[in-house]
Amino acid sequence: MKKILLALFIIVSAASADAQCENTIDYCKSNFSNEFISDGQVYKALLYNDQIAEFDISLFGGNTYRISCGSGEGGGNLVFRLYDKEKNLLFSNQDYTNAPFWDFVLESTIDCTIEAQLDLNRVESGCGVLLIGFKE
Amino acid sequence: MFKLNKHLFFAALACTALLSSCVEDKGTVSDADSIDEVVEGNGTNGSMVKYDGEIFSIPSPVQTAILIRKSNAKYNEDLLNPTENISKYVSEVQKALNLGVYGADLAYLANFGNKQQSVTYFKEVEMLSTDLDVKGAIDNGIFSRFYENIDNRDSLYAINAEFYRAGDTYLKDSKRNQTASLIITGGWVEALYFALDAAAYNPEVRKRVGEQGKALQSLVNLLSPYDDAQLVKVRTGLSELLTDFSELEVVYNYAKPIHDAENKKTYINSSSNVQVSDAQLQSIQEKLVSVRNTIIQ
Repeated sequence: MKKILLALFIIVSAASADAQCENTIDYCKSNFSNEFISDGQVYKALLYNDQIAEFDISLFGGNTYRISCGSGEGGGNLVFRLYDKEKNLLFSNQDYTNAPFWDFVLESTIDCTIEAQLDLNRVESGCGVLLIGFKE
Repeated sequence: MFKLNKHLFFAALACTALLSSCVEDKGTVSDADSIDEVVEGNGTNGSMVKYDGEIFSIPSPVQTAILIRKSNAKYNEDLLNPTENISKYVSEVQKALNLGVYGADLAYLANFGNKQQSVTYFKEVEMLSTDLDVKGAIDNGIFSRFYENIDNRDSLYAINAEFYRAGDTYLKDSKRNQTASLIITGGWVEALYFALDAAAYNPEVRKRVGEQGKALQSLVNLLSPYDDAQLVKVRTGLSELLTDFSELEVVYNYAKPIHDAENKKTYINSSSNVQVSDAQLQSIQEKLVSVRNTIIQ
């Protein structure tokens, strides 16, 4: 009986984590107008406490990029920062009340790193999601 | 305010990993396939996790296709992977790689408004996504919208990207990261193949070719956990290509960005420049063609 309960708990818990990510992805998608084209990828990580998720990205000149982010069922819970390859901070949404999306206009291509972490004043764990779109 | 119970969260995380082990791709899979890889002490503070085990964002084939269109390149059907080849793709690795290739072909076709060919290639994409058990997870509306918008180039770009994002989400949720990585790889190789053709006469495209080094490094890393024979051949070819990219000189100049809070917009003023000589371009092209041949033949 215990094993059955444990198995049920496992299934329900896993589904809950997936569902949470799914809801956040849907929220992040809603921040894109038709003019933006998706980069075709989804960036997500289960975050706890002060963990930082990061990935590298090349932002190509002549494009405007929109980065949309969230954790939970809305925006504002995830802080993201954009650094250049010399670790100069180019942007932090923390300076703009954790704005759930932001546009970046590029004249020239640059290699960047994006870091994301939860705003611990609002949440202490959750599925962090970032979506990226671009337009000419 | 959205707060998860701490214990429930960790139980869910552990259980997700446990369940994922039951549905992983065939072949050897390393820790890179776990939802998040935690690396202690590498962050500016706290611990570092990688997004879905990835360490890089790979440029969209659609983005490269748009650049090629702007370069005034002429339509060249010979650049496409012939649809007759699809019967050769038997293994999951071959199908995934070529699903990426045909997706890039679709983006290229959208540039030139070739409706008949677009429909033909879209059918190949549908067929491969069915074989890979991906199609069922993608909203049927995407397929109908493709046919409804066959005359609208911008819509085709968007639908193409949406299709691949939906596939990427589904595959990663199913812990089929190898398949997701292969689709991305196929798309990147095919898009670079188009770009190299246009780079011979267009300096902007040549520069874009030279800017692919980081993406290539990431692809090599993405494919590193797997040991399928064809995949290893592709990875080896990409590694050889990487040596060419590592020789390119990139000059970067930081400049302070300008923020426009009202419009939620930042102007990035930093710049970079990369020089690609004719000889370097030719070497890159030869190696890339070799990798592509491994994928499509």
